[in-house]
Amino acid sequence: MAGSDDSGHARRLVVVVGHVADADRYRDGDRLCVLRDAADAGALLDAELPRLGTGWRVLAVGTGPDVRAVRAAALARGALAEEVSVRVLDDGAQVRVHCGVCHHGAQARAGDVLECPGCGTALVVTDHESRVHGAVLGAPGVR
Amino acid sequence: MLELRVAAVATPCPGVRSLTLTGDGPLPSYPPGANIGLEWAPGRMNTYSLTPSPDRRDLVPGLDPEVYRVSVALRPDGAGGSRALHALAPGDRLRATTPRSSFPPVQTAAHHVLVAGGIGVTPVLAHVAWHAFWGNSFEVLLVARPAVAPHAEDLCRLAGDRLATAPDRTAMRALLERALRTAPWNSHAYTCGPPGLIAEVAVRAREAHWVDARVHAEPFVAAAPPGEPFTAVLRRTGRQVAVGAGESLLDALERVGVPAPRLCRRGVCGECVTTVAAGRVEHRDTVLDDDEREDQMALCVSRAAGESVELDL
Repeated sequence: MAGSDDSGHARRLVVVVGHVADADRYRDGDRLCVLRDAADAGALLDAELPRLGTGWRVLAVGTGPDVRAVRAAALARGALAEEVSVRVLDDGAQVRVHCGVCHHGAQARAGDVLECPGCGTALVVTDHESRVHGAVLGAPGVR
Repeated sequence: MLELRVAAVATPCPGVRSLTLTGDGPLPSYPPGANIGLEWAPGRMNTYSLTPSPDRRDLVPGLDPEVYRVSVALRPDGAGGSRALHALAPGDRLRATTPRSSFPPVQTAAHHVLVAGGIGVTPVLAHVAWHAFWGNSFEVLLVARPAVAPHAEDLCRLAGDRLATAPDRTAMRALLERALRTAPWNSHAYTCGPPGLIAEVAVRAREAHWVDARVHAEPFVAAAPPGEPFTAVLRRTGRQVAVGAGESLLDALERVGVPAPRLCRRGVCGECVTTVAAGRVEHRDTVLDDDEREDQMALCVSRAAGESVELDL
């Protein structure tokens, strides 16, 4: 599919996690996909990306953890960082935490100390974000 | 450095000499698009792309090669490197650098659009051999006049119906627009040829909304055009070196005995990149990005934009 819409913009695959809000912010040429769960982003992109051409962009819309998960899935499928943008709708300071010890994932709030559900290590939620994992680093800390 | 011997010479088309080179022992492997520097006079190197043998399609291109093959376009008004290499005969010996990768394919790409013009076909030929061997998706766009296209036959054999040839730039524009607008998701484009062709691909790619990181190029340029004379100030010693209109900054530094690392002399390899302490620079290289150009320059091709430039030398 050609990568331009009628107004000369790059066309976008818009992946919304949750429900579609601010519908007027989308463009005519956008291809809109709605997911209930960001965990399905990989399967969606596997189906959608081969239908697109180079020149398209990916826009992820949802909560902070959800848009990070969609972005990570897009990057893992060949998107370049400058081709993926995100729109955070409801950022309740929730972040997805990637345990630096056992690589397990968890949800927390910025600045929290949590017990890793995978290995039990006390993790300090840092502000070191990995776009590849779509998560921030949980570093072993003092309880 | 490698000690090489000329095993064979050939003339694939008028003005181009192909050299087959062997070493005293095993030769280092090289990735597609890699080049070697050949020493054509003491201390003077020209770099040339390595092309795998089109007759050995059963071998992984570039892996444990038995020979190195390069093609040298004759530049009658150049500094003398191509003339010296055209004069080589089987049995002659010459020194060379080990292969350097400067133009590799992106291994994660879903499709590769390869664009070549003139002698720029040589690294593209290496890419094509690689993609053909591994079964990767690719297409080749070649600007060529039939009688003077080096390696067109090799390219045709390897690429088959994935090769499209344009006799001139106008025809190439149409080919490019079609290729770039229909390329599947996660394609990358690679251009090797004169700067005008590289610029054309960059413009068409932007029109098709490709981000710059998907567009790669290796320029094949003749000597840099002359510029205005200027003064280079060497900060560590306070020394001032006058750079004439017809010479490069690198040549001027060498003339007065200031050692500076260098290899390609074409603004491609990055070996001579030096920190700029003060002064505006007219950048002519293709190795530095915009951030790096804030405080660095390639001595071999770039010049002061004003009367002087101060270097961390």
